[in-house]
Amino acid sequence: MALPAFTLKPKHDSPRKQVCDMTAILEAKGISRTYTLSGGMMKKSSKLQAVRDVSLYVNRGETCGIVGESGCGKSTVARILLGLEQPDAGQITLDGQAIASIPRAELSRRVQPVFQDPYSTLNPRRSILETVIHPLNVHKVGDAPSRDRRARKLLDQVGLPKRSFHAFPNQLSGGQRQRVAIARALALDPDILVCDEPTSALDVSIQAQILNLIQDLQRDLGVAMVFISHNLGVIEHVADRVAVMYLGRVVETGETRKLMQRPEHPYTRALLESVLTPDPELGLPDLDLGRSFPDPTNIPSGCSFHPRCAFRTSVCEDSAPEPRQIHGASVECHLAGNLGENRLATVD
Amino acid sequence: MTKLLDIKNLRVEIPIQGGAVHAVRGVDLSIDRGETLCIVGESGSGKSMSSLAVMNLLPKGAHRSADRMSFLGTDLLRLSHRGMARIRGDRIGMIFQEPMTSLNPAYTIGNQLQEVYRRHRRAGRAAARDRAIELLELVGIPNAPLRLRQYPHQLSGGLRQRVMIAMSLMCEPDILIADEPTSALDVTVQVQILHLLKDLQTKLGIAVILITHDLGVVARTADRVAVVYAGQILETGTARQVFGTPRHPYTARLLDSMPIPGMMRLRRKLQAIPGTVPSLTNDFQGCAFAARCDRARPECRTTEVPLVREDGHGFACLHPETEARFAQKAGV
Ligand SMILES: Nc1ncnc2c1ncn2[C@@H]1O[C@H](COP(=O)(O)OP(=O)(O)OP(=O)(O)O)[C@@H](O)[C@H]1O
Ligand SMILES: Nc1ncnc2c1ncn2[C@@H]1O[C@H](COP(=O)(O)OP(=O)(O)OP(=O)(O)O)[C@@H](O)[C@H]1O
Ligand SMILES: [Mg+2]
Ligand SMILES: [Mg+2]
Repeated sequence: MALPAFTLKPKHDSPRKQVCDMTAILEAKGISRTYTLSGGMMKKSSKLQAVRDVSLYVNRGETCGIVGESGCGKSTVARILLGLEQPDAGQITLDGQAIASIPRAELSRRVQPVFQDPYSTLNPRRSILETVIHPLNVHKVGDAPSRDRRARKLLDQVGLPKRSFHAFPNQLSGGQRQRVAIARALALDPDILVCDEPTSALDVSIQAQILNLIQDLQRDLGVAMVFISHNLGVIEHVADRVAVMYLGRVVETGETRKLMQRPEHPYTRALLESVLTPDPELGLPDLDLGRSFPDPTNIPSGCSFHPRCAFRTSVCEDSAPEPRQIHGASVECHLAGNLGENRLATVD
Repeated sequence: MTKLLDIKNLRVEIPIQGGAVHAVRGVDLSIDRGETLCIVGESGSGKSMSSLAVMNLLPKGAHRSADRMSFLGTDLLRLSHRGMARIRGDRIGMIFQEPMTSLNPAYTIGNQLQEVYRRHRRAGRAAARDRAIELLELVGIPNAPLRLRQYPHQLSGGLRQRVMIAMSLMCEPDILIADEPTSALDVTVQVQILHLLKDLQTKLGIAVILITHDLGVVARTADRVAVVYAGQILETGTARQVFGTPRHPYTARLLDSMPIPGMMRLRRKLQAIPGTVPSLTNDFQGCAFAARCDRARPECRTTEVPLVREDGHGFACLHPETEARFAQKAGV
């Protein structure tokens, strides 16, 4: 089998902004995932609703960010998008075709993961070059010399020096290992990369290198991405659109810039205020989230955010909000549009 | 007035095959009651080794030395192992970077929390249990009595980190050394935990040494800051001095690499620092940061660079920056 884009040419001839041709390459429709937790001896088991009726799409050449606090279901969505886990309900389509009907090998070639901790996913006995060649061998792409050429080109493209090509993972820094993981993910010329917190384990200085690399790859290759983080400041640098998750649901989604300028959901506002910029004139933000913490085994009635919401009214306790369109964003909040000025709209 | 903790010229060497890692190279630190001192720097800069040296918990074979290391007038360098064990966990609390290395997987959370209290306070079982529940609730863990029966592996990373914070506070220490206490937490919980530490500090007068690589956390919580690189302090002062007008290019470059919401609309790319932290097995000539510094001149690589002070703002640089960063609110 030969791959069309074997020479690392962009998937599209024009720069990234024009290549978002508004057809979804990857789409999730109404996916849900519930885990059953055994209660131990004599106790009844309980249900943990990790993902609740989530719909998302990623257009060609576009990056969709997913943001939300720990445990809100981001990684579960990622595993489902990668076909590593089956949803209890809902459907995933890749370029219009249900992924359930796509052969395993083909799916893993077209949708590639990049995880938080590259060390645990890199084989310690394989050199960097072998690591990137490996998927080409497995999928029998091209011949040996062309595989070698492609791997070297990718390693070069992700900014690894030639002298490190024969090094082993334990001889590299965290940032360098993440570059290797990205090169490996790109080796088979995937339709889409699913990156789950790829910079959370790195220093800020190294995080900046990786975020810049991802921007460059987006521009040069036009590859589509899902990018997961709990930090909106990071998401802003890579995502065209962003979906904000809370307790298993997408509570707000829209174009990244607009959403950061005009966050409509109270939770999105809290997330944005939680990004601690290094401004010594500002103290710790007062988030107004109360002292209760979300529990996916015990989802509140009505709007699931209401116990922590400073704006809640009786409607919020009684009925779950439907998504509403406001300023081009889709928001699940009864009060959206009526929260008043955001304290922290990012300044121009 | 005597400082709560006063350290001069701290050094740590860790022997390895064919040499030694000079992890800490002449660091001065001091802290007063109720103060927050933040130590910030990239991975491998010697932050954890500095704090472990104070607690006398360095890895086997590692050697510490200092011209002075006193805690409330007690010389920690000459203190016996038993004397140190009495202070540790009682007068000086520590939150370790790796919760799993300090939580014992074989015992329940409750056992471990209560043990600290009973050992130092000679308290009874019931009193220790009440104290444990009180602290778990304080750090935002609902349903505390149930959590007491759980083992460390049954908790998420964020919950484990909060248990560690609770454990470090069981005996109301004079100083809390917190090594990356919020790095496993997401942004909203991080803010909540930092508020909690601040509250405890004002209420109980605890001094906090907070170790982190997150400049945002430092800017928002520190009274004083020490920026460390390759085992040395390159810049120190109040948070306003160090982040408002960073003088050392290393501090300035770290600030440039932070993603800040709204920045993309200003069409500013993140400025990554090229290169990596130098090997700590060698001695360097001149400034440790020179190899990665865009302002470096030949003399930076050859001359010893002392830490000079202007109004308490110290920096070790021959060609310091002068640009002010954030709008200083005073007068606006
Ligand atoms: N295999 C599993 N069995 C039981 N519960 C699970 C399983 N996988 C995930 N969960 C639970 O599902 C919820 C969502 O988990 P998930 O890992 O998707 O969250 P996340 O948003 O990625 O969080 P983080 O930011 O901490 O990575 C959590 O409450 C988690 O404990
Ligand atoms: N047991 C050890 N043996 C040899 N060298 C070590 C050992 N532990 C740490 N070092 C080295 O000592 C130096 C300082 O390490 P330290 O753990 O203090 O860094 P740090 O600033 O806390 O970094 P991080 O942000 O990654 O926690 C590093 O170069 C590290 O590789
Ligand atoms: Mg996750
Ligand atoms: Mg450390």
